[in-house]
Amino acid sequence: MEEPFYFSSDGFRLFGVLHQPDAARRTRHGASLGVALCAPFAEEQKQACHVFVETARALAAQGIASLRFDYRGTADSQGPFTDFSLAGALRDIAAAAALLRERAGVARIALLGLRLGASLALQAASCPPPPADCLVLWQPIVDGALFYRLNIRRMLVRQMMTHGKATGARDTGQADTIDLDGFLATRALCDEIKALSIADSGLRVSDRPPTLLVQIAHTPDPTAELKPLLDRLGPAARFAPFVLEPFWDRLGYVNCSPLIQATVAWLVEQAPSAA
Amino acid sequence: MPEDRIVEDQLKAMIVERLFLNVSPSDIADDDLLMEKFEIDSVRLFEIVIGLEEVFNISLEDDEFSIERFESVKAIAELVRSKLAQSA
Repeated sequence: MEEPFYFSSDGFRLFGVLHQPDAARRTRHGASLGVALCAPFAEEQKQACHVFVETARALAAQGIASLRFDYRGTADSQGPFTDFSLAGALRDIAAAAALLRERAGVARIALLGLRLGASLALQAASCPPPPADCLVLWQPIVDGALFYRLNIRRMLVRQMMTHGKATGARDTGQADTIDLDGFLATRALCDEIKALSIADSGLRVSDRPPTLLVQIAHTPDPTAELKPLLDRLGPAARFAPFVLEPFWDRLGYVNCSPLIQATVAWLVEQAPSAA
Repeated sequence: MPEDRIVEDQLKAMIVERLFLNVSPSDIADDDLLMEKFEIDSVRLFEIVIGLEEVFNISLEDDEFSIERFESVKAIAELVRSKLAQSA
């Protein structure tokens, strides 16, 4: 069953879809674990939407409930994009996790995030009280400054394809907002993103829940981007590399079935038996 | 001379790898029009830009984002050599 609805976070109306397994599939582990899906940033959210839907349905088929939701200021949730902030998104994740726990009646929560959503999930896990019992991080953003630069790069490339040459990033250093490839971001948000450095986050080893760190890249070897995080997470993390096109940055279809199947299998392992 | 080919060879290998192309790097001619032959759209071109910045440790300026600089391996190699010469 897929139930769309709105819920509240800091007074913002957030749009969510709760994926509940059929009663017949609501197995022992299904009653104990729910998964909140933390979306990536801006354009990447649009491209990745179908993968989140497929993942939620695959989880339901294994008897596990999940919640897809839009952060404040994004997609179908309340507010313009200028309302989006990393601090606000962290509160939205906490609200989503609490709602999932209540609505699905699950004892444990997993956060599954992609790209910036994965970085936020990891950060959320260090906020008291921690909203998650385990984490799935799909190709997290480790270096926010680099990620910001890539967003500017993406915009320049699109300008080049449209006009033959880049017409310039609209970051003049004066405006209160910046056109980030079609998304009007506040300067405060840009500063938040540039300051993001999750490899240096304050997570203590003892606080880290079981984590599946998924690399999605052109190589199975740990990339320079993820290596610092992998080292930081240590033995609490299982590293799962997938040689797969970055589906959040593709116009065409990318078959993500192996990624989804492996993720669901790991989450089933994390769900304690009620027996 | 063999060393003159290094940039082109690295570029072709990077393009095949990062775009998940089902061709061998040697199947790409220096003068092939990449966007036509390999149906490269904006997101794939973005991947090439990121790839060449990582592989060659260079940083493109805004005014270097012009389509003729990316139309072929030969053109991209000229851009890379120019950037490497600047940083030398």
